[in-house]
Amino acid sequence: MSALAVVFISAGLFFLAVTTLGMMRFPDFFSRTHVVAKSETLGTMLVIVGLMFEYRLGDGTYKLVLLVAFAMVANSTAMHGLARAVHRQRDTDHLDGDGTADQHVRADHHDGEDAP
Amino acid sequence: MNTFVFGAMLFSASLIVVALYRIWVGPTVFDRILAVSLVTANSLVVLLLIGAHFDRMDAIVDIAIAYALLAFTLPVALAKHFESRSVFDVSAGTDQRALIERRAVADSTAADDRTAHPHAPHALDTDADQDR
Repeated sequence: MSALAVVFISAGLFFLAVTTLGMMRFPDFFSRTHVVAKSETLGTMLVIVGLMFEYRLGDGTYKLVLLVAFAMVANSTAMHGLARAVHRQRDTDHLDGDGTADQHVRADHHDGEDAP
Repeated sequence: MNTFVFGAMLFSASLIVVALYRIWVGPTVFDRILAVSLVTANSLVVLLLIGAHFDRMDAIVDIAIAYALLAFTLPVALAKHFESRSVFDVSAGTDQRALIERRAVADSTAADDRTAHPHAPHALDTDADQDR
């Protein structure tokens, strides 16, 4: 196994582990969206590039290139759509699940409405 | 094929198991969608590493492309679905939205009312016992 493949796959697994750690530790939804949109995309791309170095498929290598390009485009697009769907919702009280998150989101929509 | 690819495959599979915790506890439905997206990306990596381990990349790559295309549609479709529809929809049978609003108002106004108007009647004390 070539050294470049080992380096790229190890880096990709590191970024995937960082993504999972961020999903566990980040406090609110938008920071989790951020870590999934960036770190997970980079980790997937690095693993596929590392497989591209070792397993030469001949004519089939373009499929791995297509996977890299699709991971780069589609993951960011999906996370953007998800974050936009949350941001556009008028009712954002349900985001306060753990008590500390999303105070700024509530202040946008409920400022002055809760006053007696 | 070799131990490095097999170890990498086991590591990605363990990341899937860890990500299932966010699906279990996630406070909102969007956190669960996000965690499912993470699980599908890790599954794509596991699938490609399985193909590398058993030296059948030529067959696995096509499956991986189809899996990536299908996994892309899931967060987009669910985000569009839950964007147009409130999560705690009262007409859908769950009465949680009114309960959450009542609790939020009670938490924000109860302390201020008791300090500013010590003799004012508490409107929240009367119906708080009925709900709980």
